[in-house]
Amino acid sequence: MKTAIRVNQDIQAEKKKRAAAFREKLSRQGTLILNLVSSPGTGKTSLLEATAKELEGRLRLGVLVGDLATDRDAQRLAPLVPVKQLTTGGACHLEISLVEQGWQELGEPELDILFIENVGNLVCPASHDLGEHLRVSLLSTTEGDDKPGKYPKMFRTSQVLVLTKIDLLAYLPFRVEAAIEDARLIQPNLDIFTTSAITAEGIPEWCEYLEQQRQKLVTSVQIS
Amino acid sequence: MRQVSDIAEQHHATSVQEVKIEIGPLTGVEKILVQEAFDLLASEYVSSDCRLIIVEVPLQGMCDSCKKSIAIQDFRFQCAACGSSNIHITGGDAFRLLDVTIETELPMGVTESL
Repeated sequence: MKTAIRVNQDIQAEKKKRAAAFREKLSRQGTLILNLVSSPGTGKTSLLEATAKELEGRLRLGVLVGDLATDRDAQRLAPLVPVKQLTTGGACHLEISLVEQGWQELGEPELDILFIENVGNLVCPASHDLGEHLRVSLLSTTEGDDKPGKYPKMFRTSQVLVLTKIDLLAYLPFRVEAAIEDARLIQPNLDIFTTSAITAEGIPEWCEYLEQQRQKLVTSVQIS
Repeated sequence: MRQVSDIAEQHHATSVQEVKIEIGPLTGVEKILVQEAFDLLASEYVSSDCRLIIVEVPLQGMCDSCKKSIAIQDFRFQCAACGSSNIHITGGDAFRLLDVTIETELPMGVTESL
Protein backbone atom coordinates (compact mmCIF):
# COMPACT_ATOMS: atom_id res chain seq x y z
CA MET A 1 0.00 0.00 0.00
CA LYS A 2 1.47 3.32 -1.12
CA THR A 3 1.01 6.38 1.11
CA ALA A 4 2.37 9.92 0.96
CA ILE A 5 3.16 11.25 4.44
CA ARG A 6 2.89 15.03 4.68
CA VAL A 7 5.86 16.41 6.64
CA ASN A 8 6.25 20.04 5.51
CA GLN A 9 9.02 20.79 7.98
CA ASP A 10 12.21 22.84 7.80
CA ILE A 11 15.07 20.36 7.40
CA GLN A 12 17.09 22.41 9.90
CA ALA A 13 14.20 22.59 12.42
CA GLU A 14 16.04 20.55 15.07
CA LYS A 15 19.21 22.67 14.86
CA LYS A 16 17.19 25.88 14.88
CA LYS A 17 15.43 24.73 18.04
CA ARG A 18 18.76 24.06 19.76
CA ALA A 19 20.07 27.46 18.65
CA ALA A 20 16.96 29.17 20.04
CA ALA A 21 17.38 27.33 23.36
CA PHE A 22 21.04 28.44 23.58
CA ARG A 23 20.03 32.05 22.84
CA GLU A 24 17.29 31.86 25.48
CA LYS A 25 19.66 30.38 28.08
CA LEU A 26 22.27 33.09 27.62
CA SER A 27 19.62 35.83 27.40
CA ARG A 28 18.46 34.90 30.90
CA GLN A 29 21.96 35.45 32.27
CA GLY A 30 22.29 38.73 30.37
CA THR A 31 24.84 37.57 27.81
CA LEU A 32 24.51 39.09 24.35
CA ILE A 33 25.70 36.74 21.59
CA LEU A 34 27.23 38.08 18.39
CA ASN A 35 28.07 35.90 15.38
CA LEU A 36 30.88 37.51 13.37
CA VAL A 37 30.97 36.46 9.73
CA SER A 38 33.17 37.52 6.81
CA SER A 39 35.62 36.31 4.18
CA PRO A 40 38.99 35.05 5.44
CA GLY A 41 41.29 37.96 6.23
CA THR A 42 38.65 40.67 6.59
CA GLY A 43 39.79 41.36 10.13
CA LYS A 44 37.40 39.58 12.49
CA THR A 45 40.16 38.80 14.98
CA SER A 46 41.68 42.27 14.62
CA LEU A 47 38.27 43.86 15.29
CA LEU A 48 37.91 41.68 18.39
CA GLU A 49 41.40 42.67 19.62
CA ALA A 50 40.57 46.35 19.19
CA THR A 51 37.13 45.83 20.80
CA ALA A 52 38.60 44.00 23.80
CA LYS A 53 41.13 46.80 24.38
CA GLU A 54 38.45 49.49 24.09
CA LEU A 55 35.97 47.72 26.37
CA GLU A 56 38.48 46.62 29.01
CA GLY A 57 36.96 47.24 32.43
CA ARG A 58 33.59 48.17 30.88
CA LEU A 59 32.17 44.84 29.71
CA ARG A 60 33.06 41.21 30.35
CA LEU A 61 33.78 39.63 26.96
CA GLY A 62 34.40 36.09 25.81
CA VAL A 63 35.15 34.57 22.42
CA LEU A 64 34.55 31.26 20.68
CA VAL A 65 36.61 31.27 17.51
CA GLY A 66 36.18 28.86 14.62
CA ASP A 67 38.80 27.80 12.11
CA LEU A 68 39.50 24.71 10.04
CA ALA A 69 42.83 24.24 11.77
CA THR A 70 45.30 25.83 14.24
CA ASP A 71 44.62 27.84 17.40
CA ARG A 72 46.32 30.98 16.05
CA ASP A 73 43.29 33.23 16.57
CA ALA A 74 42.75 31.96 20.11
CA GLN A 75 46.43 32.63 20.87
CA ARG A 76 46.08 36.22 19.66
CA LEU A 77 42.97 36.82 21.77
CA ALA A 78 44.00 34.89 24.91
CA PRO A 79 45.94 37.76 26.53
CA LEU A 80 42.79 39.93 26.28
CA VAL A 81 39.70 37.76 26.87
CA PRO A 82 38.59 34.23 27.81
CA VAL A 83 38.71 32.39 24.49
CA LYS A 84 38.15 28.88 23.17
CA GLN A 85 39.30 27.77 19.74
CA LEU A 86 36.85 25.59 17.82
CA THR A 87 38.50 23.62 15.04
CA THR A 88 36.08 22.28 12.48
CA GLY A 89 38.55 19.83 10.95
CA GLY A 90 37.67 20.93 7.44
CA ALA A 91 34.06 22.05 7.70
CA CYS A 92 33.44 25.49 6.23
CA HIS A 93 31.19 26.84 8.99
CA LEU A 94 30.31 26.50 12.66
CA GLU A 95 27.15 24.73 13.82
CA ILE A 96 25.24 25.00 17.07
CA SER A 97 26.64 21.69 18.39
CA LEU A 98 30.22 23.05 18.18
CA VAL A 99 29.14 26.28 19.86
CA GLU A 100 27.40 24.43 22.73
CA GLN A 101 30.50 22.29 23.24
CA GLY A 102 32.85 25.29 23.08
CA TRP A 103 30.72 27.19 25.57
CA GLN A 104 30.97 24.28 28.01
CA GLU A 105 34.73 24.02 27.50
CA LEU A 106 35.05 27.74 28.12
CA GLY A 107 33.52 27.01 31.53
CA GLU A 108 30.24 28.88 30.89
CA PRO A 109 31.60 32.08 32.44
CA GLU A 110 29.42 35.06 33.37
CA LEU A 111 29.81 37.37 30.39
CA ASP A 112 28.19 40.51 29.06
CA ILE A 113 28.99 39.63 25.45
CA LEU A 114 29.94 36.33 23.86
CA PHE A 115 31.48 36.74 20.41
CA ILE A 116 31.40 33.79 18.06
CA GLU A 117 34.01 34.35 15.38
CA ASN A 118 32.84 32.15 12.53
CA VAL A 119 35.01 30.40 9.95
CA GLY A 120 36.06 32.88 7.24
CA ASN A 121 33.45 32.26 4.54
CA LEU A 122 30.57 34.37 3.21
CA VAL A 123 28.50 31.42 2.02
CA CYS A 124 27.79 28.48 4.35
CA PRO A 125 27.78 30.30 7.73
CA ALA A 126 24.74 32.24 6.43
CA SER A 127 22.62 29.08 6.66
CA HIS A 128 23.38 28.27 10.31
CA ASP A 129 21.82 29.89 13.36
CA LEU A 130 24.36 29.69 16.20
CA GLY A 131 22.00 31.12 18.79
CA GLU A 132 23.22 34.67 18.17
CA HIS A 133 21.20 37.78 18.99
CA LEU A 134 22.99 39.71 16.26
CA ARG A 135 24.74 38.57 13.12
CA VAL A 136 27.57 40.93 12.22
CA SER A 137 28.95 40.86 8.67
CA LEU A 138 32.38 42.34 8.15
CA LEU A 139 33.57 43.66 4.80
CA SER A 140 37.06 45.06 4.24
CA THR A 141 38.10 47.80 1.86
CA THR A 142 40.51 45.36 0.15
CA GLU A 143 37.66 43.03 -0.85
CA GLY A 144 35.75 45.52 -3.00
CA ASP A 145 32.53 47.46 -2.64
CA ASP A 146 30.58 45.10 -4.92
CA LYS A 147 30.54 42.17 -2.50
CA PRO A 148 27.17 42.51 -0.71
CA GLY A 149 25.16 41.87 -3.89
CA LYS A 150 27.24 38.76 -4.63
CA TYR A 151 26.51 37.14 -1.26
CA PRO A 152 22.87 38.12 -0.68
CA LYS A 153 22.00 35.55 1.95
CA MET A 154 24.80 36.57 4.29
CA PHE A 155 23.98 40.28 4.14
CA ARG A 156 20.20 39.68 4.19
CA THR A 157 20.47 37.65 7.40
CA SER A 158 22.76 40.17 9.15
CA GLN A 159 21.68 42.99 11.43
CA VAL A 160 25.03 44.76 11.46
CA LEU A 161 27.67 45.58 8.85
CA VAL A 162 31.19 46.56 9.92
CA LEU A 163 33.43 47.95 7.20
CA THR A 164 37.05 47.24 8.15
CA LYS A 165 40.53 48.47 7.09
CA ILE A 166 39.10 51.91 6.47
CA ASP A 167 42.62 53.34 6.98
CA LEU A 168 43.53 51.90 3.55
CA LEU A 169 40.86 53.89 1.70
CA ALA A 170 43.40 56.33 0.26
CA TYR A 171 45.15 53.50 -1.61
CA LEU A 172 42.11 51.61 -2.92
CA PRO A 173 39.23 52.20 -5.35
CA PHE A 174 36.77 51.09 -2.63
CA ARG A 175 33.76 53.44 -2.36
CA VAL A 176 32.17 53.35 1.08
CA GLU A 177 28.86 54.78 -0.16
CA ALA A 178 28.61 52.18 -2.96
CA ALA A 179 29.21 49.32 -0.52
CA ILE A 180 26.58 50.67 1.87
CA GLU A 181 24.06 51.22 -0.91
CA ASP A 182 24.59 47.70 -2.23
CA ALA A 183 24.19 46.20 1.25
CA ARG A 184 21.08 48.25 2.02
CA LEU A 185 19.35 47.05 -1.16
CA ILE A 186 19.55 43.58 0.35
CA GLN A 187 19.04 44.51 4.00
CA PRO A 188 17.76 48.08 4.54
CA ASN A 189 17.79 47.75 8.34
CA LEU A 190 21.55 47.21 8.70
CA ASP A 191 23.37 49.15 11.43
CA ILE A 192 26.64 50.16 9.79
CA PHE A 193 30.08 51.01 11.22
CA THR A 194 33.26 52.04 9.44
CA THR A 195 36.34 50.98 11.36
CA SER A 196 40.06 50.50 11.39
CA ALA A 197 41.61 48.15 13.94
CA ILE A 198 44.99 49.78 13.27
CA THR A 199 44.09 53.45 13.84
CA ALA A 200 41.06 52.62 16.07
CA GLU A 201 38.87 54.86 13.89
CA GLY A 202 35.20 53.95 14.46
CA ILE A 203 36.05 51.56 17.31
CA PRO A 204 34.60 53.78 20.08
CA GLU A 205 31.29 54.11 18.14
CA TRP A 206 31.17 50.35 17.55
CA CYS A 207 31.85 49.68 21.25
CA GLU A 208 29.18 52.15 22.37
CA TYR A 209 26.75 50.32 20.13
CA LEU A 210 27.75 47.02 21.76
CA GLU A 211 27.10 48.51 25.21
CA GLN A 212 23.68 49.76 24.07
CA GLN A 213 22.74 46.41 22.53
CA ARG A 214 23.79 44.56 25.65
CA GLN A 215 21.77 46.97 27.79
CA LYS A 216 18.79 46.48 25.49
CA LEU A 217 18.99 42.72 26.03
CA VAL A 218 19.21 43.09 29.82
CA THR A 219 16.22 45.45 29.84
CA SER A 220 14.11 43.16 27.65
CA VAL A 221 14.91 40.15 29.84
CA GLN A 222 13.97 42.09 33.00
CA ILE A 223 10.68 43.25 31.46
CA SER A 224 9.69 39.74 30.37
CA MET B 1 17.87 11.44 5.34
CA ARG B 2 17.74 10.61 9.04
CA GLN B 3 14.37 12.38 9.22
CA VAL B 4 13.16 10.32 6.26
CA SER B 5 14.29 7.01 7.72
CA ASP B 6 12.74 7.95 11.10
CA ILE B 7 9.41 8.65 9.39
CA ALA B 8 9.62 5.37 7.49
CA GLU B 9 10.28 3.50 10.73
CA GLN B 10 7.46 5.26 12.59
CA HIS B 11 5.00 4.23 9.91
CA HIS B 12 6.33 0.67 9.60
CA ALA B 13 7.21 1.26 5.96
CA THR B 14 8.55 -1.61 3.93
CA SER B 15 10.19 0.87 1.55
CA VAL B 16 10.50 4.57 0.80
CA GLN B 17 9.59 5.34 -2.79
CA GLU B 18 9.80 9.08 -3.01
CA VAL B 19 11.05 12.08 -1.05
CA LYS B 20 9.83 15.54 -1.93
CA ILE B 21 11.74 18.63 -0.82
CA GLU B 22 11.42 22.36 -1.36
CA ILE B 23 14.30 24.71 -2.11
CA GLY B 24 14.46 28.38 -3.07
CA PRO B 25 16.95 31.08 -4.04
CA LEU B 26 17.86 31.84 -0.41
CA THR B 27 17.99 28.25 0.81
CA GLY B 28 21.73 28.01 0.26
CA VAL B 29 21.23 24.71 -1.54
CA GLU B 30 21.98 23.93 -5.18
CA LYS B 31 19.61 21.57 -7.00
CA ILE B 32 22.29 19.47 -8.74
CA LEU B 33 24.34 19.12 -5.56
CA VAL B 34 21.41 18.14 -3.37
CA GLN B 35 20.48 15.49 -5.94
CA GLU B 36 24.05 14.13 -5.88
CA ALA B 37 24.07 14.09 -2.07
CA PHE B 38 20.69 12.34 -2.03
CA ASP B 39 21.89 9.67 -4.48
CA LEU B 40 24.92 9.02 -2.28
CA LEU B 41 22.90 8.72 0.93
CA ALA B 42 19.76 7.02 -0.39
CA SER B 43 21.27 3.52 -0.43
CA GLU B 44 22.52 3.96 3.14
CA TYR B 45 19.30 5.29 4.65
CA VAL B 46 16.46 4.05 2.45
CA SER B 47 17.14 2.37 -0.88
CA SER B 48 19.03 3.35 -4.00
CA ASP B 49 15.87 3.41 -6.14
CA CYS B 50 14.14 6.00 -3.93
CA ARG B 51 13.27 9.07 -6.01
CA LEU B 52 13.94 12.67 -5.02
CA ILE B 53 11.48 15.32 -6.20
CA ILE B 54 12.80 18.86 -5.89
CA VAL B 55 10.23 21.64 -5.85
CA GLU B 56 11.87 24.98 -6.65
CA VAL B 57 9.99 27.97 -5.33
CA PRO B 58 10.71 31.62 -6.17
CA LEU B 59 11.67 34.24 -3.59
CA GLN B 60 8.45 35.79 -2.32
CA GLY B 61 7.87 38.62 0.09
CA MET B 62 5.26 40.76 1.74
CA CYS B 63 5.61 44.53 1.77
CA ASP B 64 5.12 45.75 5.33
CA SER B 65 4.28 49.24 4.09
CA CYS B 66 1.57 48.60 1.48
CA LYS B 67 0.80 44.98 2.51
CA LYS B 68 1.14 43.70 -1.06
CA SER B 69 2.55 40.29 -1.78
CA ILE B 70 5.54 40.61 -4.13
CA ALA B 71 8.05 38.57 -6.11
CA ILE B 72 11.64 39.43 -5.14
CA GLN B 73 13.83 39.63 -8.25
CA ASP B 74 17.63 39.49 -8.19
CA PHE B 75 17.71 39.73 -4.38
CA ARG B 76 16.59 43.34 -4.54
CA PHE B 77 14.34 43.72 -1.54
CA GLN B 78 12.25 46.61 -2.74
CA CYS B 79 8.48 46.73 -3.26
CA ALA B 80 7.60 47.18 -6.95
CA ALA B 81 4.31 48.85 -6.00
CA CYS B 82 5.31 51.45 -3.37
CA GLY B 83 9.13 51.42 -3.40
CA SER B 84 9.43 50.51 0.28
CA SER B 85 12.31 48.34 1.50
CA ASN B 86 10.36 47.03 4.48
CA ILE B 87 9.83 43.57 3.14
CA HIS B 88 9.69 40.29 4.94
CA ILE B 89 10.35 37.03 3.18
CA THR B 90 7.36 34.69 2.89
CA GLY B 91 8.87 31.97 0.71
CA GLY B 92 12.03 30.76 -0.98
CA ASP B 93 14.38 30.91 2.00
CA ALA B 94 13.76 27.54 3.62
CA PHE B 95 15.00 24.04 2.90
CA ARG B 96 11.90 21.98 3.60
CA LEU B 97 11.04 18.32 3.65
CA LEU B 98 7.54 18.23 2.12
CA ASP B 99 6.39 14.64 1.64
CA VAL B 100 7.71 11.14 2.10
CA THR B 101 5.97 8.47 0.04
CA ILE B 102 6.23 5.04 1.59
CA GLU B 103 5.06 1.52 0.89
CA THR B 104 3.41 -0.37 3.75
CA GLU B 105 2.09 -3.93 3.98
CA LEU B 106 -1.18 -2.83 5.63
CA PRO B 107 -3.29 0.27 5.07
CA MET B 108 -2.21 3.23 7.21
CA GLY B 109 -3.67 3.25 10.71
CA VAL B 110 -4.24 -0.51 10.71
CA THR B 111 -1.87 -2.26 13.06
CA GLU B 112 -0.74 -5.85 12.97
CA SER B 113 -2.84 -6.82 15.99
CA LEU B 114 -6.16 -5.96 14.33
